[in-house]
Amino acid sequence: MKTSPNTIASLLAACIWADGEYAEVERITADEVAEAFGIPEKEFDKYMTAASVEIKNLTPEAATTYAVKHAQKVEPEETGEVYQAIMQMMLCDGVLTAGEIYNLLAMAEALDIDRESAILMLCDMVKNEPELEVSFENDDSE
Amino acid sequence: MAVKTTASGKMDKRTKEYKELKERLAKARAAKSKSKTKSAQPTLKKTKSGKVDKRTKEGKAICERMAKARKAQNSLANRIKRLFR
Repeated sequence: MKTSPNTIASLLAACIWADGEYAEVERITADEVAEAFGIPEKEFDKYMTAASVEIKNLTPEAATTYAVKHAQKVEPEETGEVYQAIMQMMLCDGVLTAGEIYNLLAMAEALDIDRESAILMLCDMVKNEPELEVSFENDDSE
Repeated sequence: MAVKTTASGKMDKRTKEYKELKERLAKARAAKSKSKTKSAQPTLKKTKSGKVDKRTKEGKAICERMAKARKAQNSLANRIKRLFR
């Protein structure tokens, strides 16, 4: 990957911000992302922890600004791969909700991925991850 | 203007009406793309975790098991390989 591990970790931290806390399931998923991108897991975990601390108490607007700032640092030819990692992190609880789709599309826009491609990639993931549940329950902001 | 359909119920692409409709749609698309301005970035928002409540011990354990299984199967790496490499 040409995109720096810090940038990838910062974007994943934005997903964690939306999801609440940097829990064990997110750590396992971060390890998986590191492995997929050929980044040493320990090194990536340090970036993840630092980014999670940095973003933890931000407002929604500030978190968005943070995500957009880091999304702009992703190498253009690697946006699809980074978006795949974002989907993996956002859906690591195994349930796809309307709020997560909203955030995924916001992240896609920040990465300059068109909405159609983002939705197709999501469909592809759902198709290939049979254990992933789709929830129609209301998950408005807490 | 009635749109002629084929026996299967689809629009008959050979008709004048269909061709006109297609032209109108193309014009509308072109006009829309010309006038399109970059919309404001949607703001990220906090989410809840569907049916699995990650705040409970059981919910956490379920999520961790699933994440470990995905990692063991190289789920992300396989998708990236299939789509981009």
